[in-house]
Amino acid sequence: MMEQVIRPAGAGHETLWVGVLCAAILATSGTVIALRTHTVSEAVQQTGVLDARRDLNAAEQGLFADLRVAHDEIAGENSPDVAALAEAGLLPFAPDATSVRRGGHAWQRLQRGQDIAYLGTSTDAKLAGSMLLRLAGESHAAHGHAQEAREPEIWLSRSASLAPPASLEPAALTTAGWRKVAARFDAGVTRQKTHP
Amino acid sequence: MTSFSATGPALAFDAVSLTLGRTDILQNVSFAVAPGSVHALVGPNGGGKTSLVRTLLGQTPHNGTLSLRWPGSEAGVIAYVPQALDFDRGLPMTVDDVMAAMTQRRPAFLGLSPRRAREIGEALARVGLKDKRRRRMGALSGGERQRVLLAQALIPRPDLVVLDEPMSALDEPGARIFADLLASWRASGTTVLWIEHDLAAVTRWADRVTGLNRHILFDGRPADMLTPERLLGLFSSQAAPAAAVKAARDLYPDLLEEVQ
Repeated sequence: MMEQVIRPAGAGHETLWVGVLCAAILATSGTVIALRTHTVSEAVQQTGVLDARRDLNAAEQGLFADLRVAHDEIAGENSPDVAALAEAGLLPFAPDATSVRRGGHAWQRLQRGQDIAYLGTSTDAKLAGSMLLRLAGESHAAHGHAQEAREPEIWLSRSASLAPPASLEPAALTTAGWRKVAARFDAGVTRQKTHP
Repeated sequence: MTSFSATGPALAFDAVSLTLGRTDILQNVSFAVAPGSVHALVGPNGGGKTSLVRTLLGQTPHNGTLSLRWPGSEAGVIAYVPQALDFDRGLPMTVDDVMAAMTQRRPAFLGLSPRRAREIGEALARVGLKDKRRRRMGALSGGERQRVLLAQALIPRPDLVVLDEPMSALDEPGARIFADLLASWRASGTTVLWIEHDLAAVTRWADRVTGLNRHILFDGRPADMLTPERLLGLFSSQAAPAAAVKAARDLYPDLLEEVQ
């Protein structure tokens, strides 16, 4: 004796299978995403360091970018003085309309012991702060930090009355009210987050 | 009822309802078909007879339970004879082609399967169409086409036959052939569920009859059930006179007493 129950016609089973398929796809893709996800380790910003993207205004960002380019140019030379750089038309040392809009910085070359720096004193602190491009001394290269030595060290001070720093050591600069500007390239470039 | 064990299944309709859209086609239909019996289903047009058969074939989203209890350990063969097949008269299909299309797995355009050819010949012989195997379907009369539909139900040998008004177009010889087929199914213990309009034929050949008009009206032996009063109720669109009298009595009790 065999009892056969007539099932109502309908798409119930098909719907069930489609649902199961969808669930399987979601589960698979979810697993793959979960397995492949790695947390983007944001470069921990040192305290007292300004972020070039978020903490600088437009004029300062322009100067910062120009100084980074200029640093590459200067690196090969034996740290020429400002007049030579201006004559070569190297921004931001060459005076032009842009430099006026960016605060009309007066540039000078500083040497404190082995450390060399180019100091741009802002004539209008409201437009942009004073910038300082610190060339890495030979002491850095001697320690085998060739790669790091090539990164320009750019410092910013928004102080209105500014005297040339007595020492170019980072600690001394920090004490004198200068703050280092760092450019970071991480996921935050494309993912806008509110800065704390 | 046959004296030997039936090969056909018992059918049990238990509170079967069918609603398509907002139309209630079947309401709480419950009846049973005994194994090996010829069970007729009568009722007016639109009463849900064909829908009930389609429900039995698993083609409708019904509610309730419909079960077939097979005598063996596995389900047998169900044969279905539809009311009619719509054929274009110019369709270039012969009787053999139609039989092949309906009974064999091999595509009909490749011809009859050798395994089925003999069975098809026998089936057509039983419905008296042996000499018309090469005829186009369009050239057959309505009765002959219905006989082709009966013939295809014989292959393979069925255990349950579902007939949807098989006699509607049958001529006199066709009706005799149909009676012979019913007798042979009954003799072999095949269960037959048979939708029929011809109440005389039902009275003569059916073991049991069920009246259906969206719900079950009656269910019993044809001789007991097919009384004139019942048939009047079955095929009348208006309420039956007795019901009308009762309704009137409820509304105007005083008036009726005076009249009586």
